[in-house]
Amino acid sequence: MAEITLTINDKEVKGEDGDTILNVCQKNDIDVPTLCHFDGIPDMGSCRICIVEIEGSGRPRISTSCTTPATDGMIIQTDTEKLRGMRRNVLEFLLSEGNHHCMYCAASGDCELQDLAYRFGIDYIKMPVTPSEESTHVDSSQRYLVADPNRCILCYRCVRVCNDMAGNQVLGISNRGSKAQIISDMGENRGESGCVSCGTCVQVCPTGAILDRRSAYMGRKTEVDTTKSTCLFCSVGCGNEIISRDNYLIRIEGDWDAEPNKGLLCVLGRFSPLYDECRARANKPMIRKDDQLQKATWNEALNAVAEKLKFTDKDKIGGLVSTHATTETLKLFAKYSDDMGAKNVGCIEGPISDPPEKGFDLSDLNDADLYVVVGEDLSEGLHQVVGFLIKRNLIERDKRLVIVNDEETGLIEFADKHLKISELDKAIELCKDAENPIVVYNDEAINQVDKMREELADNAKFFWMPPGINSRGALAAGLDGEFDPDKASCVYVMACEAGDISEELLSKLKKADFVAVQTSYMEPWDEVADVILPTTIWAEREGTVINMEGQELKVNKAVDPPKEVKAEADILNALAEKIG
Amino acid sequence: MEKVVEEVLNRHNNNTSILSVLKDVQEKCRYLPEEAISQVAEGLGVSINEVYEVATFYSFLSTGLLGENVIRICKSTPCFLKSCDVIVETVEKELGIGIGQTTEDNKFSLQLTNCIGACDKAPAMMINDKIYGNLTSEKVIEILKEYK
Ligand code: SF4
Ligand code: SF4
Ligand code: SF4
Ligand code: FES
Repeated sequence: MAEITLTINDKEVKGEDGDTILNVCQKNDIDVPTLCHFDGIPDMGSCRICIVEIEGSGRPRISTSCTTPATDGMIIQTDTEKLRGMRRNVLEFLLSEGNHHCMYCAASGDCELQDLAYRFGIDYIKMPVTPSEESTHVDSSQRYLVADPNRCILCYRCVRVCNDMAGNQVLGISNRGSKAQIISDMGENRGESGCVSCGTCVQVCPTGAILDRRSAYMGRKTEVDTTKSTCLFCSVGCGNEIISRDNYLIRIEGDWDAEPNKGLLCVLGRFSPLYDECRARANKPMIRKDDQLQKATWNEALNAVAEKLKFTDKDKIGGLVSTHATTETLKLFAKYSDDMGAKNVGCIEGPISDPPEKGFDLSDLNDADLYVVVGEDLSEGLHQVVGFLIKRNLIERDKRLVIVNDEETGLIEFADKHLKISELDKAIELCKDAENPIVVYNDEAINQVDKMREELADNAKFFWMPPGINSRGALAAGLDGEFDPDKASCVYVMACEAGDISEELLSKLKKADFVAVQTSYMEPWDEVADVILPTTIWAEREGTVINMEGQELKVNKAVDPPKEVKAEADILNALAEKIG
Repeated sequence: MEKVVEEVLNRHNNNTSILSVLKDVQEKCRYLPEEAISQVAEGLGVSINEVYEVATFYSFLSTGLLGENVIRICKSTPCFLKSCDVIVETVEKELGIGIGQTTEDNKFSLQLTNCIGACDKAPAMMINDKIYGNLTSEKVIEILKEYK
C-alpha cells in the first residue's frame, strides 16, 4: 500500500493509503478523543467528538477524523481552542439529553462519556437537562442484560456489532432526532425479540446503557482482575477474558485479539457458565457408605480408588473422559490407562471421526460464496459463533446459505434453501456451481459428507465441528475409541464439568461394581459414583486445548479452586503413585 | 393485506429499495402494520429491524393507522419562522386532536413534517398529496371545510 505523508499538529507523520485521519493519528500516537469509534467495526461518525481541522484554501474545514479518508499532503490540527469548544458542546448535548446522574450508574468509573466529560472539564451543563420522554422505558426483559435507553448516546456501536459483527440483526434505531432510540426488531422488548443473548452489545456500549445484570456494581475495570483464556464450552475455542475480583468470578468477555472469534462469544461461553450453572459444586472427596455418599479425606478417597483399580482385571476396567479437560490432562489419562493396560477407554461424547485431511481456518468463512451446513444447528447449542460468522457474511447479497437437515434448524430463516438429506445431490450441484463453497458439518452427518467429499474433491472446503470441546486434544492423546459400559465393572470417569449424560449411559454405569468420578459438580454423577474426587472448573484450569481448526489455545487459571478441590492432573498423578 | 404487500413486492421485483416498497405499501394500506413490515423484510431478504428503521425514520411513513386524510404541517425553519405554530393550533382546535393523533371518526390525522419544499409559500402544510401555502388561520379553516 502506498505511503502518504500528512502534517498533523505541525509535525510530519506517515500513514497508508486507505487510512482515515483517525487511523493515522492513532498510528502516530496523536491522541484524538473518540466515542462512537470502536476498533474492528466500520466507523459511521455519529458522535462528532473526533472532529479535527483540515486546512484548505479558505477557512479550515471541520471534519470527523474517523470517517474522513487521509490523503497525501493534508494539513491537520487536532487540538485547537475551537475544537475543544465544539467538543465541549457535543458533550453537553449528549449529557443533557439523557439521564447521566453518574452516581447511580453502574458504569460510573468505566464510562467513556464520563471520562470525556472530566477531560473537557464539563462541571455543569448550560442547557436544560431534557431526557426524551419517549425513552424512559428501561428494558429488563432479557435474562442476562438490562438496557437503559436513558443512558444511551446513540453511538450505534451496539447496532453495528449486533448486525455487522455478530450477524444477529436484532438491534436498530427507530425514529430520528430527539425521538431516536435503540430498538430490538420492531420495538419489542429485547427478551421477546430475536436476540440470541450473545452479549456483544454489552461489551461495546461506552456508557451504562447496556449492562450485564450479574456484574453491575461489582467492580470497575481498575478494581478487577482480567485473565485471558479460552472458552471451554465448545470446539470453536473462543478467546475470552475472565473478569474476577478477590477470587470471585464476575463476568466473561470476548477477547478482541483472539483469532477464532475476534471478540465474539455466544451465550454458552459468555453468560451460561455464571448465570445458568446451578449444580452443586463437588468440593470435598466423598465415598459411598451404606448407599450414601459421605465426606472423606483425599487419602481415603484415593486409596479406595487405587485399591479397586489395582485389583480389578484390566479388561474389566473402563475409562471415560470429558473433553472439557486440557490436552495435557487427556494425555496423562491416556498414559496411565496404557500403563494399566486398560483398553476400554473413550470420550463422553462418543467416538470421534477422522478430522478432514485438509486444515481449515475460520477466517476462510469470509471468502466463501456458499455455505452448506449439514447436521449442525449453529443457532443454539454448540458452535454458535460459527453461526454468527456465517450470518454476518450473508449480509452481502451474493453469498448464500443452504441447510441440509431433515429437521428445522435455527439458521433456516437466514437460508436461501433448506434441503432434506435425501436431496443431498442438489447441495452437491450447488457446490459445483459455486466459486468458493464451504461445507460445515458434524459427526452426525459423516455419511453425507463422505459422499460430498467424494464428488467435490478439492472444489469445496470442509469445516468439521467436533463433538467435544477438546476432541482434537483427545485425538492427539489417542483417546478416540469408544467406551463400552457393558464390558466394564470398574469405571474411572474424568468428567470435569460434563453433565449432559444420556440416561442410558447413566443406568449402565449404575450397574457397574465400582465407579469413581473426578468431577467439578455433583450432578449427575452423585447417582452413580462410589467415589467422588472434586476437581477444578474452567476458570481454575491451566493448560492448552486444540480447537476445531487444530489450533493449540492457551487456557489460563483466573481463580483458585476451593480448598479441597484439586487439579485434574494432580489427582491422576496422586492416584498413579498409589497404584504404584 | 398479505396479498397487497405481495403484489407490491412483485411489482418491485428484485429492486431492493426498502423505501420505495414501503411507500407503495403505505399508499395501499394507509399505514405500515407490523405484519406488512415483516413481509417486506422477508420479501426483500433484509432483516426486520432494518425495514422498521426506515419505516420509523421518515415522517411520511407511519407504523400507526392513519385517518382518511393526513394533514402534515411543516415544522422546518422557514415555516417555523413564519409561525407555523399558529397553524398547528388552528388545526388542533378545528379538529379536536393533537399532533400524532387521529380523529375519532378516522377522518383526519395530524402530523408535523420536515421540509416539504414549499418554503417560498411558508407556512405550508400538506393534506394527503396536496400542498397548501401562505397559510393563515382563516385560510386553514376554509381548507379543512373541503375535507370534512
Ligand atoms: S445480545 Fe447479541 S443478539 Fe442480543 S441484542 Fe445484543 S448483540 Fe444483538
Ligand atoms: S446502547 Fe450503548 S452502544 Fe448502543 S447506541 Fe446507546 S450508548 Fe451506544
Ligand atoms: S462458540 Fe463455543 S467456544 Fe465460542 S463462546 Fe460459544 S461455547 Fe464458547
Ligand atoms: S468517533 Fe468519530 S464521530 Fe464518533
